[in-house]
Amino acid sequence: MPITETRLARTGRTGSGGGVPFSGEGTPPPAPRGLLAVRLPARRPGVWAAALLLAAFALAALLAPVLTRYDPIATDTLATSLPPGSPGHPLGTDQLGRDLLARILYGARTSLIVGIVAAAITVAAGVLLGGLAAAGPRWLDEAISRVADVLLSLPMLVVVLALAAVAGPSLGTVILAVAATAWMPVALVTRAELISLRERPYVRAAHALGLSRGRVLVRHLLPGALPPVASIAAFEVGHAILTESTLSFLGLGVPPNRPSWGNLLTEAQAHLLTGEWYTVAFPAACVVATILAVNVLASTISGETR
Amino acid sequence: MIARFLIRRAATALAVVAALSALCFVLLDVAPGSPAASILEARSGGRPATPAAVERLEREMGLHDPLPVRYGRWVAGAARGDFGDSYGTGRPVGEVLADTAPWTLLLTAAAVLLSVAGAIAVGLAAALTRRAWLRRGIQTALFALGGMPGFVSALLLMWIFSAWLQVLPSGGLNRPGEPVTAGVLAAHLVLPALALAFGHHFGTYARLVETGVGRLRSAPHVENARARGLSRWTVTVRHLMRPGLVPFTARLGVGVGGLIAGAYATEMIFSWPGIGRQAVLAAREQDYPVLTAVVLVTGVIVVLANLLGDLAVAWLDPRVRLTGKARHAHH
Amino acid sequence: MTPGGAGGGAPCPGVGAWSEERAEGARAGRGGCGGSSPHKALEIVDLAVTVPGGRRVVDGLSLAVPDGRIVALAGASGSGKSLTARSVVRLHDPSVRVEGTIRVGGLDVMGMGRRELRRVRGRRVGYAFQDASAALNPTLTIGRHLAETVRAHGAGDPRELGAGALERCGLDPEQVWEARPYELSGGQVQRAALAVATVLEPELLIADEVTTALDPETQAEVLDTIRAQGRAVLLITHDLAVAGRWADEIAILAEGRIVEQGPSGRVLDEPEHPFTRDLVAAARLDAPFEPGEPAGEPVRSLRGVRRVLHGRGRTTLALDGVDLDVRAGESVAVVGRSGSGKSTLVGVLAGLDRPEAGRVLAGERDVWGLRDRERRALRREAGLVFQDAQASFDPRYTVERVVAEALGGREGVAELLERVGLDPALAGRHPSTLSGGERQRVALARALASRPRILLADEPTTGLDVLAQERILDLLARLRREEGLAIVFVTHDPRVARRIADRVITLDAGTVLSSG
Repeated sequence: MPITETRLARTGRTGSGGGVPFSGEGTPPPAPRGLLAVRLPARRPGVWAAALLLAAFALAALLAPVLTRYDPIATDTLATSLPPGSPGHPLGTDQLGRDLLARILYGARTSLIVGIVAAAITVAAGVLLGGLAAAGPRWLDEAISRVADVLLSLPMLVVVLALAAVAGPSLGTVILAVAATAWMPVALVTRAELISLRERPYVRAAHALGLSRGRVLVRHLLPGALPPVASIAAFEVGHAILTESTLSFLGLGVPPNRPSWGNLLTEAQAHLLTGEWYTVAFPAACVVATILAVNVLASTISGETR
Repeated sequence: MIARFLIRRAATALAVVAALSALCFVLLDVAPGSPAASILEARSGGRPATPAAVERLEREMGLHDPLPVRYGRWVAGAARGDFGDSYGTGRPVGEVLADTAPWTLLLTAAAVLLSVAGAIAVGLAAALTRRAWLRRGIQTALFALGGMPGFVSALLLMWIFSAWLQVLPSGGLNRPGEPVTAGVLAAHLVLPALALAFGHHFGTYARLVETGVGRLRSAPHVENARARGLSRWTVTVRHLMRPGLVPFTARLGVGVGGLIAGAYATEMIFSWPGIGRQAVLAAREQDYPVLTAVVLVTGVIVVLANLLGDLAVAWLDPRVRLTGKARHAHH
Repeated sequence: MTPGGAGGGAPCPGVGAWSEERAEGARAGRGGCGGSSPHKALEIVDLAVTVPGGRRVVDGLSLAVPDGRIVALAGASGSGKSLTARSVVRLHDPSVRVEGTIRVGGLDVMGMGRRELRRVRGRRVGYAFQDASAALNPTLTIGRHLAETVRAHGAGDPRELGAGALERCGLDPEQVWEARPYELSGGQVQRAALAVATVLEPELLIADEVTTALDPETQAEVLDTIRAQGRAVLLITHDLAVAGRWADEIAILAEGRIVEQGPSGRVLDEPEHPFTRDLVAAARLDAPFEPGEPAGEPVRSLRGVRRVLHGRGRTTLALDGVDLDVRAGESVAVVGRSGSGKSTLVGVLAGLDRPEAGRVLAGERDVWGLRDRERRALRREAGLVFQDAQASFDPRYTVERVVAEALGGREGVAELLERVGLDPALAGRHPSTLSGGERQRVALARALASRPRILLADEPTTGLDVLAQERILDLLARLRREEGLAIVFVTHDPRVARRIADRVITLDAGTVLSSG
């Protein structure tokens, strides 16, 4: 061709918002997405750091009994309030003489299990309900979307608090409370993705080729819907950990005698002003690092560059 | 058009409040323990009540009536501000609410102001700057903020300003015998308001501002505004910000709910005498009348905030009046 | 073309074949065709525009627009037309480097500071953009747009000037002052945008593809309005027919420079530069129409088809009792304004959308009376080509995968690509990296993969420049000749319809207005 339609390099970079309405010629090329959205960009050290950190936390939680010889709930009146770096207690001890490292390791077990299980239930329920809303009859769609809308406009932490108070603190309560109050965004995103994909010309083109509904679903709809759903699923893990730690921090989540990062913080809060900052800093750093790492992975999956 | 839009939103709001009240009532109803026993215990200073006395009071309180009747009575009472008596102190719940709610409103209002002003300032800076490093820096900081639970930011602020620098009080407002002057109030307000504002979805807001405004930067209507010789100020405020802030404003209504919910932990940490702290204490002590009343009141405030947010969006972007879908007006 | 433009003696000599389409309008007091007015509203000398990345898209461009004359700047898409137009009032981002001399009414624009530049923008140069509804702020009323422009220049009473501008552009101020852009029709918005651009009576108007998105009737109305105002206009367009009918002079932009400039009639009738010749030949669509084999059996038929579309809160009757036979080997063009039901017709013919009433027949068989499996087999007998080719490909797929999916295997992909005139080496690329014309060929290859008997093409050349459009039309004509393919071709351009079809049917509000 003598004249190729050159796309003018567009000026004025925008944020990750996308969808820039230009008056110019040519369409900007869409960002290619990986089929399963798990192709992590190898050149981004942040992504690898996040993945490694999560793996390390998971491993540490699994191997807690190997990594420390202390019992996380055993008190030791001879070794109270030791600062970090004390012999035998690398992170120090709290006012009851409990080893902080042991408590954080065992706490990781609780926090990670709650995060993963609650997120798994949330995502499964959300995808199922969203898929039903997108594919099912109109009344079902209306019902699911309305309920999700109503629940979304409620302060869910408050409702969870009430639920937890009535049901009594336990691991199961926390997981169910998180799932019951967090499925809505997953369902709405799944539904919106499926519906918007269904109306895309390329899906229509696939139908026009005589492909069956099942094939169109497997070849075009699911691979297209997966990245955003996977991304929000990852965010849900972070959200679940956050909710667990907040509930436990308020004394309404995981039972107080069972170490979790939130519980550790509740007890340590009082010592913040008395110089034992480390009893707060270490568990808080764990919570923040975990949620950040999960969010980094989630936004990588969703293709957002930062 | 705008009237129809409002009616639709108000109807939704009403449905939400109805759902919430039903939820609260069911919670109150299935909660373990007998309210009558708790009240008798509270009245007699902790002595367990005889089963006969409990039974008599339960009859008096109508606890044996069918569920819809009890729900109707509870709703009617709630509408008048009568939520029964606290199990813990025996005080009317309405009084407890009246004592604590103003504190929470003050704290939340301060936090909302801080949050909105901060998000717009930071988001605009990131959207409009030509320096890539500044934009990236802001984006990274906001991302990091997004990984921090509200109570962790509260603890961090308290540690920096109360424990380390020792410039601001860590709590203890409204102690008996200490009059609350404006100066005392302001000093006590700073940390919780900051913690609440920056610990709850602040990153989300700032990013909504950034992407909303940023993606309009080279939009045709903005180029047109520049091509007509309008001043930089007019172009920025009227043509970039007004349409660009729609997604942010749409989210804000919902976000106020998040702030009020977040106030629970913040109030606990800074022992701020608001309804959030009251709710957590009530939940720990299983004082269900107080707890459910607080949940309901919080819910109503949140729903009202949502409605306000919808109104603001409808004013900013008249298009949403057509579809009535304010909350989905983004991208 | 539609009524409104013909009539009025052609003032320029040698306009020849294009003269019937010349618009004259009220251009009294003009300097005549050949003679150049001494005073120039716009003068560009040796303009160079470098986009970020270092590519110099415009390089050594010189161009003048005399007072009161309309100069069309024509060229293929991506040739730098809009970059040039934007340079006149320096709208570019600082990352775009602009060099050269630009004078508006004798004033040097390149040397101006921000404040001086603001006084030129809007006041001396009005700028009308391609997509008017996007170029106006959706949250503001039309009146507010007009008023803010007047106020920014402190030019007088906003209401009075604004109303005057609206009237000049053929709008009723009472009716549109309080309206927001999205509440107006396409033609109305474009007029409103013109009023906003010319509210201060600038001596130069830059009209950047202002009618590309409009149907021909509305296009003619809007361009007549511009012409009637008598100011100097730099008319950016990729459509030589538009340039020939409404501009006094045409400047052809290629490879970053003006390769040819002269009176419209001369440029179109005696193009000098080879590129202009190609462009003119393509734009005329004057390749001879070759009728195919005599039409055979009906391949697809519609009987009393009715289809309702459920949109947001409103339902529209897209097709209302349509009868149609498409016979083997014949070519049918479907024309009509936007929203007349053209695309819906394609979906129904393809057996994708089920009509609410009426029957869709494939030969003797009722498509919607069949079982799912049989209907899917029938769909393979029809090849579908969409307006937006890129959107019709799964974004994850390469060219090869797109075609292979339709073929049911990789075998034969290369051959198919060659048949539509594509290099098989492109197979490994993503369609998004191809040009618009190449993408549409990939779509054609996919449509042909199942050896269809009928090809349904929904505006396949809209958005392509004239050269790419011509090649696609050629290809379709050849396919029809060589393979006896029936073609249903949806277009809003009557010239394209005449060029491609044995018969043209006109749709209006879901019913067939005329057929033949």
